[in-house]
Amino acid sequence: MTGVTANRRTPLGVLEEIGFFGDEEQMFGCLHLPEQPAQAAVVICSSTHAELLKAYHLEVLLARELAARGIAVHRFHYRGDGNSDGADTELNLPAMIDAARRATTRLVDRSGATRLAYVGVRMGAFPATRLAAEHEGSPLLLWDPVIDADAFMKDAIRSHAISALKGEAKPERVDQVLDRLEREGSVELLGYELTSAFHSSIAGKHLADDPPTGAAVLIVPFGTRNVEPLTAAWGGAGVDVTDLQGTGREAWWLDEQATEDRNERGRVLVTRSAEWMAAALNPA
Amino acid sequence: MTTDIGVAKELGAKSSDTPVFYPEDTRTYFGIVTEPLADAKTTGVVLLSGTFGGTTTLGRNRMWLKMAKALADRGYPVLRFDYAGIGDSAGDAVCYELESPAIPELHAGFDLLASRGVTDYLVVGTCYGSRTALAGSVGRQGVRGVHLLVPPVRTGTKGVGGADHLAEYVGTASLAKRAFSKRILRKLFRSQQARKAAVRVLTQKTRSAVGMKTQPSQQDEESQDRGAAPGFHRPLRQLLSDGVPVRILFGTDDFFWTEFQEARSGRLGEELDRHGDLIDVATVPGTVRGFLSVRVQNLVIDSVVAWAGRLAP
Repeated sequence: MTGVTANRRTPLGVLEEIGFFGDEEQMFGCLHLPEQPAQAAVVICSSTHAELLKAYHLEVLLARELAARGIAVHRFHYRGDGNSDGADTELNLPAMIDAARRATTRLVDRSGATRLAYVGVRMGAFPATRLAAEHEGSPLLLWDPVIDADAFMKDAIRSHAISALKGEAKPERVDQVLDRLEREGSVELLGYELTSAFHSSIAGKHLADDPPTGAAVLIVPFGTRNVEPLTAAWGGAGVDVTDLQGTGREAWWLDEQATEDRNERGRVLVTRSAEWMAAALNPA
Repeated sequence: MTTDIGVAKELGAKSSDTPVFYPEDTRTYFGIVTEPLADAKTTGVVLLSGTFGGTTTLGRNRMWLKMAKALADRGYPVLRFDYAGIGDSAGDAVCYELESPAIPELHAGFDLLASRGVTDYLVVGTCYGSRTALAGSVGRQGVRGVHLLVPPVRTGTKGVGGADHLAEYVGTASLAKRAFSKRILRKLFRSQQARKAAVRVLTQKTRSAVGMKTQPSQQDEESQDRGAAPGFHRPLRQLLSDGVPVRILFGTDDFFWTEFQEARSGRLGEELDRHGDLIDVATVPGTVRGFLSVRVQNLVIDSVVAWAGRLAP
């Protein structure tokens, strides 16, 4: 990596700075820094694999919306995913959490902000929630969080099976795929390689086991996804669950013609998420 | 015709990535330039993705990133970028229509590479990116070759095709023959989506038969041309006339391959015959569109790298 950053000033004066950060193996990161010094800063923890691509532009729009409201934002790609260094095999949950910590440090250094908040999208809910717990009182916004990591794997495997129905291949059952994953070290799902290292790092993980402490939480399930197990477990954390009307149920692993960010539902999601975050960071 | 499908190579660490906002004055587009650490060639490569997902720099399983690194390891500076309105580029979300390719973005990309010492270009595009590769390369000095990956030859917004195109462009007898093939019967049995598509085809066919469909003039021209959209045929014709070699890769199970073959039976075929030494159409077994397997991704990367090596060694 060159150490060079790409910089752009938006019409609202926000500095968008994209570059690479970290040690020998560098991570791709995007800073959105308001013109005036920011009092508060948000780290956005993306999902992985196909889900990173699906939600990408929505996350960009959210970052821009927050920065327009005077909140500094850091988006980044985990090692082994997106535009970051690292082989696909390096992607695992501890590394994702470490990446979120590094992004937090970088954001505080660059923005000078004293209040932190986190956004977690799908699998990104795990690192976001962990960091929110480490920084007590940090508001936490979760977009369609993966609550049960085993369910995330099943979703991915089932999506692959649905796609396989279109062709000649006979789809495998979930247990067959997981067995093969353990035997062979990786399985290919819809053109992505999911490794046993990634799987073992998330196996058995439940988001409810890692509650944030002492701050507001907004959970936005997409469509009819049931987040009650999470809200029940986190009941004492002031959890607010909002199903933004019309968000719709996203098929995270399958191709669809229209992605959320290209229509009104995406705009509503971004605007209302930013409104909530701004209020949570600056309570009256 | 040649086939040069080889074995995917290991990705080396002989290149560096530089993020850029460009052009200098407006900084509208976001891209990443992947450059060799040493001995860079003066031929650069521009990679033009389809519009799957919320960024067009990566692709499924980071295919475009891996392709860029594979090319840069062999000395080619490479640009991949987000189209306007997507990813980290500026602008509002747009509907990416095949007949409105991203020519400004591509031209700005050429200028960016030129500012970094590139004197000529190879252009690679898939789906919407393939239309951009064609239209944006016409008349551009220095373009030495265009590689199209599963290009759609007919009109329509990105993603439109399938049932509507079957009804519009495939004869009733051909459709009936396809419908009773083992593969299609199995799909219809297993998939509700396939059954819905079949009903849509029947409905469209019936409407067309009783004269209920009105056709915009562009589709009239396509019908006369047996299906090659002007947005595909015209720039292809111009590039070939200008001596720019074009390679096209399909999977044998790709719907767009079927459309291409049908279009080739019309004026498109005459064009291809006229410029036989400049046009190279290759196929691989199975489906390429969507790059739905690591095998296909590696195969495509290999194809592009080998092609670049032939045109700009």
